[in-house]
This record gives sequence, C-alpha cells and structure tokens, in this order.
Amino acid sequence: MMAQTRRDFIKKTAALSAASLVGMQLPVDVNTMARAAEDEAWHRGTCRLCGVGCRVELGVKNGVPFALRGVADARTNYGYLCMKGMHFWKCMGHKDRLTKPLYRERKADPFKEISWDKALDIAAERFSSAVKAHGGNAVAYYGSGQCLTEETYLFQKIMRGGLKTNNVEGNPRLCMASAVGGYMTSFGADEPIGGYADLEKAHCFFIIGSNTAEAHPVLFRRIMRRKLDNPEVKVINADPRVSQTSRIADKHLQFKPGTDLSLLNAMAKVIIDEKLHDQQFLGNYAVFKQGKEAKAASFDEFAQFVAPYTPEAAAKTCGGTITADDIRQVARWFATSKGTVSLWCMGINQRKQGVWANNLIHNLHILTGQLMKEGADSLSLTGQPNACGGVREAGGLCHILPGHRPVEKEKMRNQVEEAWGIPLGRIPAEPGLHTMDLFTAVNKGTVKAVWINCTSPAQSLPNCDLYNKGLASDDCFIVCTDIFKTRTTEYANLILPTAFHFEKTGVYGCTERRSQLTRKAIKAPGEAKPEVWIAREWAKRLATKLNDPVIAQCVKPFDGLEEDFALPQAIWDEYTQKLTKGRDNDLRGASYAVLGRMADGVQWPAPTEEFALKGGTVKKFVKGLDPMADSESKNDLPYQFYGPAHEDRKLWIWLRPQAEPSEVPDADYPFYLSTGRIIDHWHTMSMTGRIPELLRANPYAYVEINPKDAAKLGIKPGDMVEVRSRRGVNLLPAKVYEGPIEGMVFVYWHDQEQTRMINKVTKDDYDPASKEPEFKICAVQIQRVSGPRPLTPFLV
Amino acid sequence: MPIGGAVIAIRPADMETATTQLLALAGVEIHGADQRGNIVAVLETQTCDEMERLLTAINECPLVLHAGLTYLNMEDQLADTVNTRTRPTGEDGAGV
Amino acid sequence: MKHNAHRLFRSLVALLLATGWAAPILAAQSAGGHPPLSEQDQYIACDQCHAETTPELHKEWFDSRHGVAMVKCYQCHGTFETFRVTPQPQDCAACHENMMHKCPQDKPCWQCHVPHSFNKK
Repeated sequence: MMAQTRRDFIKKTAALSAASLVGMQLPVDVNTMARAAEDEAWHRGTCRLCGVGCRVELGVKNGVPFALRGVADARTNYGYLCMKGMHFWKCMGHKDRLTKPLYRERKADPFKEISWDKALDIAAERFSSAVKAHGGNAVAYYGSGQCLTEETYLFQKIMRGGLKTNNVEGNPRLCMASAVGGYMTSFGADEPIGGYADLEKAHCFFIIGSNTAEAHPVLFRRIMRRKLDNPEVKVINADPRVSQTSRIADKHLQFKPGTDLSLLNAMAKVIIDEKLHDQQFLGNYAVFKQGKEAKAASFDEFAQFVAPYTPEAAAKTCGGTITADDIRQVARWFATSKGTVSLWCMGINQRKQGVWANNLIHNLHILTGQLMKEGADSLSLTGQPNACGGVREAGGLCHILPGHRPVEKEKMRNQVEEAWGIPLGRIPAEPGLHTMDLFTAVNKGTVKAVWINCTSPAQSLPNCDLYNKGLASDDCFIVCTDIFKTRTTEYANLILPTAFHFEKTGVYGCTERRSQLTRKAIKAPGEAKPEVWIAREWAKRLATKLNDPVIAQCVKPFDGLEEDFALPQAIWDEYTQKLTKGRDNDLRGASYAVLGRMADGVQWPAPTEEFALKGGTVKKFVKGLDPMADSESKNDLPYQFYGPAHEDRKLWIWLRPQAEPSEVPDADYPFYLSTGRIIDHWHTMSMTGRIPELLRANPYAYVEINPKDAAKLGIKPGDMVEVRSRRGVNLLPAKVYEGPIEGMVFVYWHDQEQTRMINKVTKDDYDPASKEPEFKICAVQIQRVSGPRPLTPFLV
Repeated sequence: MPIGGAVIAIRPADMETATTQLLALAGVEIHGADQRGNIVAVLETQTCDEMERLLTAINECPLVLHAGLTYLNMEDQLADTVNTRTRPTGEDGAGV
Repeated sequence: MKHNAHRLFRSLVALLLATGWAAPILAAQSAGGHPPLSEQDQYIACDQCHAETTPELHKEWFDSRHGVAMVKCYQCHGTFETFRVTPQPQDCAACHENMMHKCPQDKPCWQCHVPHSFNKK
C-alpha cells in the first residue's frame, strides 16, 4: 500500500494535471481543498412522510445527517415543515436499522443473518417454485405509497411482464382507492384538477372528513394563513369529530358517522332550489348519471332525486348539532363564493360508500361551476408521499398499468408490452387480486409467496387478526423489504434491509400531481440496499430459475447500471419517456436533469422540458394552462375534459343516495368507533416511534371519549377502557375530549402494542367499487376497566 | 488504490448544486473550479474497474456536461496483482 | 389528561417542598434543564402538563399561529435529553430559513418575535 505522503503527492499531481489542461490555477495550500467529509452540505429532497410533498434540505456533516430544514422557494411548503419533517433524519443512523439480510425457513425459527447472494437466491427460488407449481397468480407483490416511483414501477414490471401476474397491489388501496374511483367516475381522470395554488385564492374552504391540521399540517398552515389574513373567507369543517382543524372553522358540522351523504345531497338540493347552480357551466360541460350502468339522467331527474334531502330531513338524519339553517348557510357559502376549495381525506375515502361520497363532493363543484377558475377546486388530499406518483400513476394497483391504463383493455396492455419489448399477450388480461382479496387468498393458501415492500399490513389491515392467521402460516413465503422491524416482519421468512430516504435516489409524486426528486445524500447503513437494486437482482435470478428470457428482458435496460443514480434514472426515463408519453399524466419533460434544477418539482401533464421547468400544469383541462387541453382540444370551449375514462369528455354528476355504513351501533354494540392519525405519528410508528420527541407526544394509542359519554360510563381521563367489537378488543387509556360526537369514540391507530392495536377491532368490509375498507365506521362496546395504569410504549 | 485526475465540465450557473452532487459520490475530491464551469477533481477508488464506474456515475449526473480522466496512477493495484497472496478487492454487489 | 397533569404538578410541588428544593428548582427555568421527571411522567405530552403548570404561557402559545398550526413545544425546546429553555436561531431556521437573511443578524429571533405569541413587536 502506498504511504500517505506519497498518496498526497500523487493526488496533487493528478489535480495539477487536470488543472493545467483547462488553464486553472490551483491553490497551493492543500487545506483549502474541498473535501466531502469535512464540509457541512445541504442536500435537497422531498419529505419522507405525508402527501403534502414538503421540500426539505438534509444537513450533512462528515457524512452524518444532523438536521432538516424547509426549502423556502418550494411551492408545496414555502419553507415550512411539521415536526415529522423536522425530525425524520433521526431514522437514518438509528441503532435499530436493519443492516443485513435475515432468513428463516420456518416462521417459528429464529432469524439468521445471510449474504445478499443467498437472500436473493432464496427469494427467487421460492417465487419461481410457486409460479412453476401453481402459476403466476400464486404469487403477489404488496407495495406502498411510500416507495419511490422507480421502485413501484420496476417491481410491477417484473410481476406483470416477468411473472405474468397482475397481483400487484399497495397500501393506497386502503386509503386512496375511493378517491381514485371518485375522480375517474366524476371527472374521467384521476387526481385533482387544480392544486395548492388555489388555496391562496380561495374564498371558501369546505373541509370534510379531514383533520388537515394534523394529517396535512403544512397545507393547513396555508389555509390558516389565508383565513387569518382574510377574515371574510369562510371555512366550513364537516366531521363527526371536533378536531384541531375546527379551530379555524366558521361553522363546524358535526354529524353521525356515515350520514354525510345526506348532508352533501342536501347541500345540492339547496343549491338547486335557490338557483345557485351554474347553468352555463352545466350546459357546456356536465351530464347526469345514475346506477351501475351509468345510465343517463336529466337535470330534472337529478332535482327530483335530491328532493327528499331537504335541509330539515338531512339535519334529522345527521343528528349531532346540525340544523337545517346550517345546511342552507354552508350551501350558500359554497355556491356563491368567488372560489371554493373542498378538501377531504380518510373520513370520506375509508368508507363502504367511499366512491359515492367522493362523487357527491365533486357534484357540488360541478353544479356550481366551482372548478377550473383560480381558487376553486375539488382537492382530494392524498395521505402518503407517493401514493399518487408511484402507485396510482406507475401501475401499482391490480387493475391499472403505468400511465393510467386499465389492464382490462387489450390495446392498453399491448402498448405497455411494446414499450417493454416483450411479446404481445404477455400481461394477463384480468386484474389481479385487490388487497383484501389478496390477504384472503393468503389465508386460504392459494397465494404462496408475497413480497411486502415498505408497509406493515399485519397492523394496517382492518380486522387485522383475521389476516395475520394467513401471514403466520408456513404455507406462505413472505419477503419484507424495510428499514426497521415491524409487526409484519414478525411474519416474514426473509427480511431484506433497505436504504432509507436520502440514502437512495428517486421521485415522489404528491397530492397536487407534482413529481419531485430526492437524491442520495448519505450512505445507507451496513449492507442495506436500494429497492431498485434488490428488484433487479431478484429478477435476473428469476429469469434463470424459470428459464424465461422475457423476465430478463424486463430488467435488461437496467443491467449493470450503478445503483445510486444511474439505475433509478434509467428506470424513471423508461417510465416517463415511454409509458407516460401521450397519457394524461405525461411526464416526459420531468427528467432528472430538469427535476434536479428545481426548488420543487413538476406538475403533470408536462410533455416538454421547457414547460416542466416552469412547474408544469397548474390547472388540468384549461386551455393555455394545460398543454394537453390545447393538443386534445375538440372545440372552442376553454375547458377540455380529455380524461381517459370519459369518452363523452364531460363531467358526470351522479345520483347517489344515502346508504348505511357496513356496521352501525345497535343494542349490543352501542358506540360508533372511528380511527385515525395524530400529527406526531406516522402510520404504524416504526419510524416516528423511534424518535423521542415524537414518541413522547403520543406514546400510546388513546381512546377519545366525549365528556357526556364519559360521565355516563364513569370514565375519567387516563382510565383504562375496553373497546370491543365483534372482531376484537383493545384496552386503551382514555382521553376525555370534546372531540368525537356523543355516541362515538375515536382511537389513534399507530400503536404496535397488541392490546392497543385498534385494527383488531375495525371492520374489513369495503366499498364494492373501489375495494377500500371502511376503517372509519364500525360498532363497539365501551367499558371502564380500571383507573390509570402505568403504561409503556412498545416497538417491535 | 488507483488515483485519477479529472476535469468535469458543467454549466457555470450550476456550480454550487453540481459541487454538492459530486461530493455526494464516494471517492470524489474537488480541488478547484473556475468561472467557465470547469471542475478539477481527484478520484480515488479501490480498483480500476471501480474508477471506470465512478467516472460513468459522474457522467450520468444531470448537471455534468462531460467528465474525463486526465491522469491515472495505478501503482497500488499493480503491486497487489503481482503479490500472489492478496487479491484486488472490489465492491461489485453480491453474486454478480 | 388534565387530571393527570394536575396530579403530577401537585405531587411534584409536594416533593419539592418536602425536599426544600422548591426555590432553586423553580428557578431552574433559566438554568437550562427541565425539572426532573420520572420516566413514566416523561410520557405525558408537554402541553398537557404545561396547561396546568404554566397556564398563561400555554394559552399564549395555544392562541398563537404556532398553536393553531400545531407547532409544538418540543420543536423549539427539544425533548428531555435535548431540552433547552432558550432555543437557538437554528431551531427557528427549520421553517424560517429565509428569514435568517432578511432579519437583523445581530439579535436572536425572539427579541422582536416575542414568545409565545410571536407577534412582531
């Protein structure tokens, strides 16, 4: 080995030779050399957590992260962060990080550390033997709205084009599927027409089924600011629970869970009765639809349909504190404001009637023409950072291929097969198993191998104990890719350690159709690897074991590429240039070169680099703002609804009746149970639970009980309370809080502790159209068990 | 361990961002830069194969117009190859 | 939780009085550390105790933009191991980096933006 002084001499020589080539004078002093290890550098990227898409900078010194701060010029957060965005760097060097592949043949065995070579071989062996014996539908991939787009895209390519299965799903099925269904059936295209820019121009906010203050804090900040600076702006908050969001509301509508369909129909009735609808907009752009076959209806039939939903009748149905005058008032505010933005999240989506609830909100916007113009939008809030970009747009659900292509259409499959250079007919024609069916199949033993990536269904599925039976069985081989152990890795045969955010490069697409790039800034710990490398290497082995060159073909364009940058870039390029070309989410202009130069990122459609650099499409369907509205224009009207699902190029107003939730309170189970997140914790707390600041804010799950109910049941703050449904039971400390409506309790779902894991209690019935479960409503018994007990936080 | 001298050409406006991105790659030291967008860097890797991969990675950076080696010293690796009791090491990733 | 915090406060005061440490501990606000709490009590969220122990301060924060936007105590003051009564300007910079250059460099942020209402003086 070269002595250090000789090494320095050689390095100086190397530098001088290069410098002389370009006529550069180098400083003589060696100490002024820029060395990566010693400088403090700030690396730009997107926040790892919610669907707002805050842009952050990671401060790194000596290769070690030490802080996060916001990017002031980013059009998502304008420099602001919530406490999760501030602190998630603490996951990076955490002592609990998975650093080596772990394997056990049977689930009762202890895990053993193995090499990557062995691990990838085992994964390929188990999947290929399942495919050989039972066909492609015996295996599945279950991914996440927190995976990078490149990861989701590559995995689904390998599954569909390689293993010939559409058993590709992800946890957005549990949160956003109804919103997708709502957008597709109301507007003909997924994702919002407008975006965050509408917030600063809005004159009325209709926040329903969302605790924006805690679930999308940095967006809430923008709404709060708009309201505080402009007191005449109206904020309507509709939620069975009074939450932190209600603090800025001019009117809070508290209704019995599941009755919001009546509320929304009643608002529509008021709008029609008082002639507050926009006849010209309706005439130009809308039609009315009803029933499963989307039969045409007329305006009069719609008016007749909503006629029974008088404000008085709806107030009665909704119960709570709502009066008929409240309903009239909010309908008038909604309709007459200069710009109304609706925002909603899981309260609307995680419902048996999730798609219908979405439709009814869109109805109000179409009826009143509160769309397309500045400050008006129907803005579904996406929970996860990349449910849109990765799963909804790049083919991460069982029924859609990349570029918003329904898998059932042969023409769409052929387009994808051609882009991938694989034989026509390779991709199966039928959609795969949706999430609830997938885990039911695991229970039945018909799915023999599942790859679970960056999510924890053992805790996040509704009625989770039922599905954990299947996960526990040795009949199902489970691979988990993750950064920490979770409740789900407890059921794995193979755990593969992955690189975390900023330890790998890739794109996240947030709520407002904006794709943003995060570049690798630090090394992953131990032997942790980026998922794109894992998937590629696994696929190569699958190709050998199945003797199938088409599988190799799926990853051939990516073979040998350096994994930190060149590989994800190549995947992104293939996806954007080949699969989004000409589709409504055209991202061809959003190359890494373009994304790397921006404070934030690009809203699609953005077919050219020039347009992408400016930020892309602020409003879809508007000529002059949306390049596809221009290129797809069929007439002289300013708005062109070219979305792939509506051949008639119209917005559809749906006749949807009030319908009951799957399980409502009765004599035996007299309380509503609803569940949700709180600001400090993310999902199953594997990340946030390991950050002391965040853990201590809410170390356990609590059950929120209305003071009147608490008094009746003799429950005081901190008391231990049993929450029991037909499916399971939890024992939780009580928060007595003027939050949930009387007759309803609200439980936080982050806790990994078995007696505080509320998904043991929730119901797994789901929306028949979107297949999204009704996490938000089921029936429980509530009983005081004891006074306060000392509790300990729990992490796997 | 081979040591290389490289000239990396970028657009002058991208200097700050490009420097950050290049420094994020293992084995890259930046020794100088001028206003025309030339960066002088010293590259240090375990093997020549790795040097080649590093250069490719640099060229793949979005802000890099071109990167080229102007100097390469391999006396370490040559010595290791000659010595029959050691073998050149390289991080290829498992099983490839 | 209000009940718990009140209970805690009373027991803490009782403990401090009993040990004769009341004056120095209550004055320890400016010394930099958070008064010692048991591990169990450390799992009570900051604002729940402080609604009882420092009610005016809590109300000021709760009614401010930070309170409405749910910028919580620990974001500026850290948690127990990292607790600081007086945050650093870098703590503000996590969200307000752009103001670091616009505002006067010679004074800390809170001289003008007085905690906990933060309205500019």
